[in-house]
Order: sequence, then structure tokens, then C-alpha cells
Amino acid sequence: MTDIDSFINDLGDLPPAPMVLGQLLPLLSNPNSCPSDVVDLITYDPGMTAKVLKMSNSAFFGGGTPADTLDEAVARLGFKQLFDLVSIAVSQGTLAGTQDEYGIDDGELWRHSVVAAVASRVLASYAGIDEGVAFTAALLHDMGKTVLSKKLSDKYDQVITELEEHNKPWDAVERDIVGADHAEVGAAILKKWEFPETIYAPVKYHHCPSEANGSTPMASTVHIGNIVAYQLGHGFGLDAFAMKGDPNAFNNIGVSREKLPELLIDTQDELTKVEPMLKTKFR
Amino acid sequence: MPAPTLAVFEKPMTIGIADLSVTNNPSVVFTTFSLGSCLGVTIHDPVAMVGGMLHFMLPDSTINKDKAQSKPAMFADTGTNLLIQHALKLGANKEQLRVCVAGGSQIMDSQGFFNIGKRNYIALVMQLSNQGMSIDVEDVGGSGNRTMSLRVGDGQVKLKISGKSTPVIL
Repeated sequence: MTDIDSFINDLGDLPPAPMVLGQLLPLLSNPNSCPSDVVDLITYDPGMTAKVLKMSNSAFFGGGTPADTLDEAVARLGFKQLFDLVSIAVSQGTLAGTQDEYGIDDGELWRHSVVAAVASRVLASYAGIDEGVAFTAALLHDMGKTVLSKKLSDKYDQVITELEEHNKPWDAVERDIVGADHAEVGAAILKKWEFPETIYAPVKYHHCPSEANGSTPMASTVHIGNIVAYQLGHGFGLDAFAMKGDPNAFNNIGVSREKLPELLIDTQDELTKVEPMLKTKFR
Repeated sequence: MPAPTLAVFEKPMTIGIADLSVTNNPSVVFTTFSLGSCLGVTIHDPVAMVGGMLHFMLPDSTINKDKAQSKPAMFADTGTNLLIQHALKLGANKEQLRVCVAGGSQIMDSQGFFNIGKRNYIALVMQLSNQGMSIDVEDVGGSGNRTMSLRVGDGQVKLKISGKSTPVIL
């Protein structure tokens, strides 16, 4: 057992596992899957069914009578839209709550993650790499914060000193104080939940994508998606921007860094489209 | 008989990302959320009682001509010019306008690959200079996320910085 595995075992309670996400991805990459396969995944989860119905009946798909069965709701959505909607709804449970030690209020971590996911998918489309994997990995990139928050709870003053006086990035502060950073903890939990390496490796290396070996392109995509979320104002908490940019991140995916402003515009446009579904404003 | 109480009702108005508004209604309080690398700009003329707010995303409108047309407030150049034009139309005087700026946060980026915040700031200073104006007060850069508001009635500009409980008055 590695140090990080025993670290996870010592944590005790983990957030609710977003198992459906792991099952959704293979469906997205299989050309023969259809929306009813997604329905099969969630149909026995009443909470999720209600959420999907509510979102599909939102203003975005307005007009006509509201859908009252999953099949009907799904028929109105495309496969990609349904995938986004279910993924975002599932991740909400895992990323809920406050992370006081990071200065993060309820719902903010989830909103940051949704913006990073949308940005990563837009960037994956520029790079010609798997958009679904980029979306899901970015959606889960910060889930380690939900558990590390508890570990940092009585060390708040030390965190502030390291961040503000020693000017360290967040991941270095976490390693110094609790012995592991949120990226490796998040990846270890995803691995424990049996998510594929294509998802947990980019999560693990989202702060140092050039070190990710075979996963470097996807880790670089999530790295940049994360930065775009901060830039668009969805980096929350204490010293939200305390992270290092990898100068090779754009090169790693064969996209010019001159595309960054366009990426910001396209991400904001996409967010405007999902806002009505999520009943939230990414302003 | 006691003097009647004068009640002033504030009218909150949210300025979204890539958006701007100008008013001469003193009860309006403009607020913009989520200033990351974007910049929030407020202008206020206490004599003409005109106030406005802009929340722009990017330094230069030439990268996307369609957006420059449909969303001029997205860019430093088109946004700043429009903000000032609207204020002048409502009777503001350039010499009397107090300009406050907030946002432009930066990640740790030694080679400047992601430095949209800094480029936004430089573009804004140039645009204001073209108009014969300059920034009066600013809170820019750093690693926080900011919410900015302008009370048109008295020109007070308030900042809330993520993770910090006490607001800052500019």
C-alpha cells in the first residue's frame, strides 16, 4: 500500500461516490450508444430522475408541455446535452458543502468545477482529443479539496502564513502541512472508486501536466481549463489564483497559446447555454 | 410633531460579465460579481450625478469582430469607449469623472503565458489615456477573486475579495 493509499484510508468518511460518471463515459465513446442507455443508468435513482426532468423542462428547452417521464425528457435532449446534464447533476453531490479551510462557500467548488469542465471540453475540441474525458476529469479535478478541507481545519493560521507570507501555491501548502496535495488525494480516491486511469491521471497531474507521461495532453487540457475557470471569476476562496501555470501546457496539446482569449469567449458562450438548465448564473 | 423620515430605496442592478450600464438615477447600486482576470471599471460624476460600471473580459476587440459588434463590453477598447460615451450623453464631464478599477488577478505565471489580467490592465490604461483620462483608485492584480459595487447616490465603491470577510472601500 502506498503512502497516499494509507492517507486515504485514514481519512474515514469520503464524499458520496459519483459512480454514474464512471459508467457514463464508455457510453459516450461508443458510437452505438443511444440516449436510452443513459436512461437505464439513472432510471432507478429517483433523485437523479427528478433532477434531469427539472433541468430538461427548464427555460432553455422552453415551449410545449413539460416532460413528465425520463424517456420524454431524454427525447428532447441530444446525447451530448444529456451527458453534460447527468454528469453535472451527479458531481453536485460529491462537490457539495463548504470547504471553510479554503475559504470556499457552499456550492462554489461545484460551480468552479463546472466552469473548468466546460472550458476543458472546448479546449479538447480545439486539440482534437476526447471531449467527454476532458469534461469529466475537469469536473472532478478538485474533489480532493472536499476531503483535505477536514485535514486543514485546525491549521488555518499556518495556511495563511504559507500562502500570503511565503507566497506558495496551494498544492505546495497542502503538501507541507498535511503531507499530500488535493490533486493526488483526489486521484487516489477516484482510483479507489475504480475510475479509469484516463480520468484519475489528469486529476493527479492537473497542476504539473508536463509530468503526466501518457496522460500529458489530457492533464494539460484540465490544467488550462482550471485556469480559465479562475480567469472567468470562478476561482473561489482564499488566494484562489495561488497556482503555477505550466508554460508547456498549450504546446502539449498542439494548440497555440494565442487561442487563450478565444477559449475564454467560447467557454463563456457555452456557460450561457447551460445556465438555464442549472438554475445558476455564471456571470 | 416629529420630522417625517426620508426613506431612500436602493435599486440594485447586476452587471454581468461582458456587460456595462450607466445611469443618472441616484438610487441605483451597481454590482458585478466574479472578477477574476477580468476588470471592473466604475465611473462617477458627483456633480452631474452620473455613474456607470463596466465588466470586461479581454484587452482587444480585434480578435473577434462579431463579438465586438454584439458584445462591445467584452473588450477593453470597445467597452471603455462605450462606457464613457454613455456617461457624457447623460451630462457627465470627463474632468469630474472618478475612475475606479478592480480585478485583473493573476496566477503564478513566470513566463506570462496566461497573463490576461495584466494585458487587460494595460489596455484599459491606454484607452483611458486616449480619452484624456486616468485611473483614480485601483485594486488590481494579486490572487483573489473580487466583487465590486458602485453606489451612484454618493459614488462609494466597495470591494469584496474572496476569502476575506472585511470589504474594502475604494
